[in-house]
Order: sequence, then structure tokens, then C-alpha cells
Amino acid sequence: MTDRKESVKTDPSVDGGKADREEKLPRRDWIVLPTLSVLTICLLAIAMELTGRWMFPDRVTTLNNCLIADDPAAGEHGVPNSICTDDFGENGHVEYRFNSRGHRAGRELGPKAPGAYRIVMVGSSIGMGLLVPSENSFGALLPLELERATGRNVELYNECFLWETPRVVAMRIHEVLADKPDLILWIMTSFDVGNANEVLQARAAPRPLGLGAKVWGTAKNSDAGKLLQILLYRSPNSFVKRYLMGDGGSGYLAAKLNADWEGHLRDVDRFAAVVETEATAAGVPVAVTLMPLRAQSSMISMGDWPAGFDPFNMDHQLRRIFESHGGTYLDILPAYQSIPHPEKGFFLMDGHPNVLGHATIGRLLAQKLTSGAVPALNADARTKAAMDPAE
Amino acid sequence: MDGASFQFLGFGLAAALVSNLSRSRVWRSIVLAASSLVFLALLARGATVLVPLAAFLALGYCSLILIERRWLRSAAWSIVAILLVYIWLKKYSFLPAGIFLHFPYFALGLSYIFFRVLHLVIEMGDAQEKQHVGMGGYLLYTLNFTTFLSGPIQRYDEFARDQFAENPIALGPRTIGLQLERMVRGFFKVNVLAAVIEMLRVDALAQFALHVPLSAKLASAFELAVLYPFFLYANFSGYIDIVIALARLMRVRLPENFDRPFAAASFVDFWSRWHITLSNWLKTYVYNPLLLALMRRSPSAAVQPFLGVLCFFVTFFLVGLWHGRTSEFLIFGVMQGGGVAINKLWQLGLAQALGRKEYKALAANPVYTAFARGLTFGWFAFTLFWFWADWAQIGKVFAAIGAAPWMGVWLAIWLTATVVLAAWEGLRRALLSIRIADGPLFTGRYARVVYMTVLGVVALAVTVVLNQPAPDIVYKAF
Repeated sequence: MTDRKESVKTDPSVDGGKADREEKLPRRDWIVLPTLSVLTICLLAIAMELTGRWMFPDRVTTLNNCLIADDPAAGEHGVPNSICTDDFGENGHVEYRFNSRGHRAGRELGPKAPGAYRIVMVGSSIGMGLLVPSENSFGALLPLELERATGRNVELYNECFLWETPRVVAMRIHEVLADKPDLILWIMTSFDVGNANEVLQARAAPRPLGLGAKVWGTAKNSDAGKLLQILLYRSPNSFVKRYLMGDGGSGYLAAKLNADWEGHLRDVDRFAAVVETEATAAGVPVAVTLMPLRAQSSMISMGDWPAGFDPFNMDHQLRRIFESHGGTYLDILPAYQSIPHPEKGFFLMDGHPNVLGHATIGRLLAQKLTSGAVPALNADARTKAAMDPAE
Repeated sequence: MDGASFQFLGFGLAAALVSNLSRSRVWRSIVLAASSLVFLALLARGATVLVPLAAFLALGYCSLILIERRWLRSAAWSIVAILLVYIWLKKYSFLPAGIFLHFPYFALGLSYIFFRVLHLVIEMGDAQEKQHVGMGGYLLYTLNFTTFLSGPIQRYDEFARDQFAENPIALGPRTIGLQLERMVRGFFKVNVLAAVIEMLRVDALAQFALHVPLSAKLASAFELAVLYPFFLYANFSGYIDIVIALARLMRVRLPENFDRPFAAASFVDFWSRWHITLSNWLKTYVYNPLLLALMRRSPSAAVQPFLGVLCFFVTFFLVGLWHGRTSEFLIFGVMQGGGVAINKLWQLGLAQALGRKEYKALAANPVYTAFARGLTFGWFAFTLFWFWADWAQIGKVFAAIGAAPWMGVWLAIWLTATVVLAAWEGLRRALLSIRIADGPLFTGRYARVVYMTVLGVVALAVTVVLNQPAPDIVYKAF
């Protein structure tokens, strides 16, 4: 085989094969090589930025024109009879039509048809169907699913709006009850829990950022930065890892919530008590559900997460709160265990559910509502079997 | 610090800078010693955890002294003692758990230190004229921070030739540029290529647990098998690139550990291109002496080629077994040894059947080479399941789609690897054939500056965006 003493094999392309002398660099290379490097960096940055812009054009929205965002008595709500648009790179063109009450309900609320079952939906931007066409939002799909399952005429009046936090829902409960619902469906997200006591979108002056944070912010928000994030975070595993290591926005996924989150849950409890008390007095049941965010749904689907985290913890906490006040909790999170790649149901950059995500939510909610949670909406056995949330 | 991180690069570059403040071998040795001790201290984070390592080093050095002074006639007992202590400290699972040390201690890099110590002891035992190895030289050699975590496994004489040279090897702007380029390449391989491949691989693995159609699982099975060899190559060779470059900046030439392993057209050839220093070490200290010993006992010419096959099996079984302490690595070793042995038997059989000249012509045939290359890759990819997975995972993965579909997957891997690797070799040859005055256009310094800049910028951007600790170097765990 080989001789006992193996001579060192060096990479001839690295060392030139001779270590005792070195070829001199031509003088011009002292200028040419660094210049070439700088030019390469510039060309690369330009190419990535242009590619990012082409693949993910900036969001152009007129939605602010349809918002009344300075009414602390009622929270943010829509300008009555207004139409606004959103052109969002990942989604294309979306129109927001607000009715005479400033709701993106798809229709006006008239008197209840005889025999109809009226659901009034409350909650924030997910329920409103932000970034998706109205007809593709689960607010529009759910009544159709329920009608198919129950054979009843189901009306769903969507009063969800941006920043409709638990405090705003509690503030508006009389208005909601005045719409004579048979059921109040309350859509919550961990974002709502984290802002439970807020009325309007926080408008505090932004904290001054250090240079590092400014550079990072500029890079992250550049089109090249967005392109890179989208490419790298397509992998659910990679996205979850990054999300859990992030800047504290993932605190709701902790197995043991910190003091801030415990405080938010106490706020939710307070507002839940108000809503349930009023609704009970009016004889209207309240059903609450927690919508998972992208990382949460991926963790549940993969069935794998690092120690110290629990994607079901917030779910358990909210169930405890709402059931203690006599409400009904619709637990859709476990269903994500049998949904492969639920992250495909969310916009990559924004995080709101996309059309696929809304369809999934609609199916899951319909399945829960017709499985005994709300007796008036019980489906028959054949229809229940057909409503497999994994399909 | 124990990976291909910015911190490790910065540390290494700082050590190289300080080392080059003087050409004096004393100065360079002091700097290497100090850097290595600081590196060890940063990894160990405590003195008491280093006691077993220190004792192991002391055992090695005492053995050297005893042999040098001829107080021990042969190195055999020292070798056995060092081997037993190594196995004990590494907690090989075939030993009863009760005999292990039950306090936490530092064992990173022990496998590589083991090879270096054993090499010194064997060479000292064999040499007629015993050459003294000072304590300083011994510690510099065994604890050298550039080779501490994952090798390469360097011979002492080669280390001493460079480290203790009166006139250190040349280090000018061209060499510095080449080393910086190599570091960028290594950093990119670990922090971008390996990281991205690992993301894809983990997603493919997760797919097996999901309710997806069989076609999706077959695709995942294909991905899972194909991705890991590339991940391992990028992860390990990337770190090796960095340490070789750092050592060169400190005027020490480390041996190469990889030589385009996926270009290998046989499993025997593969192991002369993958983790080269490990297979060379075992060939030198296991294969050669074992073959000589067996040939002395069986002088029959007809048997000798088969003795070579047996020695290949034993050598590469040990290559596999060295990687881990559990039964999975035992099987991994059997597969490495078996793969090499069967390959050798195939070569022998074919040469006998066709005749040597015809066999050589066949081996040079591009179609035969392509299929052989694909098979080599496929076999290596298959054996790696016992490298990264435990029995439970192996069971789940193979049960997820059943035996017949897995056969189909392996066939697809073989055929795909045949075509893709052949295409790559062809493309590489074509690109290298485009020449300018100084040599191939695409290995000229201008082209290299451009694509190293691209690799560097992309590596920096990806590292910043991912914002995660540098990926672990797989081979540091051995």
C-alpha cells in the first residue's frame, strides 16, 4: 500500500506546490483585485434588490383611507360605505368594501330571515380577512360549510376589524347584542391576547434605534433582505427556529408564560367576564376560538418543538378562562396535527392567513361548531364524516 | 468557538496575526501554545473537567519517555494501555456503565488527540534511533487549536518540520489571499450550504410523520438519502478548509482531508478522497502491519489478494467504528468495511475474469465509471443512515414506505447520481479546459476573487438573516 511515512498532501492550487518561495503578485493586481471585489458586491446587491422587487413588489394600500383610527370610545372601525384596496406582493389585488356600518361583512345587516341562524363574528384582522378577497375569507366560507352540514339557513355577520382587541369587543358588546345574534363567534389570536387592553393601534413615538438595529432594520426591510428571508424561511423548521429565537414576539409559545403574558391573560379574563355576563343576560351563547399563527401551526403539525416551548399552552389558558365564565371554547389547534405543511396557509412575509389558510380555518371551525359544541348547529353523522379537517 | 463561527475566525486570524509578528520559531510556538490553551479554556470552561484529558496526555507522554529511554522494549503495552484508556474515556457502549467516570469531563477532540498520541508512540517504538520529543513539542502537537476539534490528523514529523523550522515557510500576499479565499469558502460551506441542506433534510424527515400521499413520502425518502452526504461534506470539509487556512497563516501546512470524494468511481477510491487523514492513518497503522503479518503466515500467492480484502475489511470496519460508541456505528463500520471489501473482491474477480488489460480498459470506460460513481455515492448515502440516526429513527424511516418502495428509491438514487455526477464531471472538465495564459480561466485569480466575493457576501447575508449560532461541526462529536 502506502509508504510508512505519508508525505503531506497540500492543495497545489492553494500553495502553488512550493512552500519555500512565493510568486509575486503583479502590481496592477493590488488595484484590480479589490476593485473587482467591490464591483462584484455592488452588482450582487443590485441584482438581489431588483430580483426582490420583481418577485415581491412593495405593498400599496389605501386601507388607511377607510379607517377611523382615532375613536377611543369605539376602537378602530371602518368608514361607512367605503372601498379601499390592497396590492400586496404575495397576494395581488384585494378590495375592502365596508358597508353602511363600516363592517367588511359582504352585505348589510337586515332583519333575520325566518328560521335563520345568525352568527355575529367579532375579532381582529384575521377575522376581517385582511389581505384576502372577502369571498375567500373564512367569514364568507363558514356559513356555507355550516349550511351544508346542518341543512339550516345560516347567516354570518362579520363585525371583525383591525385591532378589535378583547377590550374593544367588551366595549362593543351591547352593539353586538343589538344585532340579535343566535351565537357570538369570537376569533382570537395570540396577538389579540398580547394587546388585550389596547384600544387603538399603539401610536407611541418609536424608540430611538442604535446603529446596529437601524442597519439590520434597513437590510431586513430591503427587497433583497425580504427575498433572502423568504427563501430561507420557506422551510418550516428553519422558520420556527428563527421565530423562537426572535425578539420576544414568540413569548406566547412558552411552556411557562412570563409575567407580561400572565398580565395579558388577566386582561383577557376581565374582558371575557364582561362579554359573557352581557351575553348570558341576553341569552346569547359565546363561542371563542384561538387561531394559530404560522410558527405555532408548524410546531403543532411537525409535533416537535424545543424544550421550554408549548404551542398548546395559550390554548389551554384561554379555554380555562372562557369556560370559567360559562363560554364555549372551540379548540381547533389539535386539528393542525393532521394537516401537513400548514405554513403554506400563511403569507410568508406578513403572517396573516392566505386563501388556503382561510379555507382551512373555515373547515375546522365548521367541524367544531357542528360536532356538539353548539347544539343548535349539530350536523348529522354523514356530514360529519365528510368534514375531515385533514382534507 | 467550537464551530465555524465569526468568533472562531476572528480568534484564528488574531492568533495568526500575532504569530507573524516574528519569524522566530520560539515566538511562533509561544503564540500557538497560548492560543491553544485559550481555545481549550474557552471550550472547557473549567479546570477540573480537563483532568481526564490531562491524564490521557500524561499517559501518552510517559509512554514516549519509557520507549525513548528503552525502559520499555516495545510499544505494544503502551498502545494497549492508550487504547483501553481511550475506549474507557469515550464510554463505548459495549463496556459496563459502572466503570465509567460519573462526573462531567471534557472529551471534545479526544479522538483526534488519540490518533496523534498513538502515532507518536508507534513511531517511537519502531524507530531504531529514538528521536526525543520534548514536552513542549508534544503538547503543541496534541493540543494545536487548528486541528483540535476535527483534525486533520497530522503526522508529528510534518508538524515539527513546519512549526520548528528555523526559516518558516513563505507567507506573502498571494498565499495570504489564497488562505482568506479558502476561509471564505469554508465559512460558506458550513454556514450556508450545510445549513440550507440541513433545513431541507429536516423538512424531508418531518414529512415521514405527516399524513401525505406515498408519492410525497417517496420524494422525501429520496431527498433524505441524497442530502445527508452533501450536508456532511459541506459541514466537515468547510471547517477543514478554515483550519487548514488558519494553520497556513501560522506557517504550518496541514494535510488535505478531502479530494473531491463524489468523483470517486469505487468505494476503495472514495475512502482515499474522504477524510483522507483518517483512512491514511488506519492504512498505515492497521492495514499495512496486518497485511504483512498475515502474509508471513500465509505465503501462498493465490491467497494473498484475499488477505488484502480481509485487511481492507478490518481497516474500514475500524474507520466506521471510530465514528461512534453505539451499535449503530458497529453496523456503520461493518458497512464501510464490507463495502470496501466487496469492491476489492469485485475488482479482483473482474480482473481475473477479463484479464488485467481488459479490466483496466473497462475501468477507464466513461459509462462504466459513471455507473460505478453513482453506485459508490448510493452506497455511501445508504450507510450514512447508521451514522446520523438511531435504531428507532432508522426503523421509522424504513417502515414509512416499506421495503419495495425503498428499493425503488435506491435505484433512483443510483441512476440519478450516475447522471448528475457524470454531468458535473463533464462540466468541470469543460470549464477547466477554457484556458488563458496563466492557466484555466475559472481558477485564475480574477475569477476566484469574483466568486469568493459572491460566496462571502451571501454567507454574511445568510448568517445575519438566519441569526442563529454557527452550525455544529458533526465531526467534532467523534
